[in-house]
Amino acid sequence: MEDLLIETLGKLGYPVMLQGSLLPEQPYPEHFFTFWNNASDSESFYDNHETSVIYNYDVNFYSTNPEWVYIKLREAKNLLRKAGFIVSGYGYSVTSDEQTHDGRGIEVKYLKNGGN
Amino acid sequence: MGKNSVSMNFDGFDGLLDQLDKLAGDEGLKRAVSGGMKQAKAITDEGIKKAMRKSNLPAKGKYSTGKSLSAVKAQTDIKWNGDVAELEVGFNRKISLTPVFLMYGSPRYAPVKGLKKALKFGQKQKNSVNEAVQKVVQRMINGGS
Repeated sequence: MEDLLIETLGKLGYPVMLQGSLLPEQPYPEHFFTFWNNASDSESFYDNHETSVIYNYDVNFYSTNPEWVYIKLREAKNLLRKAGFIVSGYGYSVTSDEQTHDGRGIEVKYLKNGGN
Repeated sequence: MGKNSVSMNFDGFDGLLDQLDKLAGDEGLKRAVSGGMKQAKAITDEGIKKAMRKSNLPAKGKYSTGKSLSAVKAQTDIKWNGDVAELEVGFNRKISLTPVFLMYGSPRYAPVKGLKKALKFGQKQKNSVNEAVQKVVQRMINGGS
């Protein structure tokens, strides 16, 4: 499922990386996405078999442009919904390690039928 | 009302409420719901403490001052607004913003495992409230307080 998430976010043309994966000495890119898989819980069962799973992700956008954290996250939301992700609301502020960057995140879900 | 709202629903709930209503009236119902909510808050607080243990924090808690834990909302009084009961849970952001950082992580630090889940009012927490209310209601019907 991460493949689809990364591919979809990548269409906006900015780096996509796992939250927490940037090394301390690595500089922030000017604009970039991060994601984190919060959970992948079973949603339904039939005859002792998992029939659907809900994947839950945080998707964050960091930028040197405070306006872009809103604009680009909205663009990402539209793309993700077209790709089949469930995205509700318009997100929340997230903290940045660098004073040069602002961050904003949104919760994204994907219902995968057929189990893992 | 906050987004973490809960509706009560379990087998025999209506019957229990009828019994309790006859025995203790509206005040009894409020006491039962309040008791359940306090137990649910205790479950959430316990989850937060478990997630915030030093071994689970960035750098194994080397830089932890304990300020985030002190920001856990301590209020236990239930506010009633008509039939809606409210009890604040989670962190007081006026005391510390660090929990936000710990919950969502940053590009250089992964989120603290289990913290977001502890704060999220998911099905497990809803079930906990239901179970807690059920126990309190039954205890009251059986003559306890």
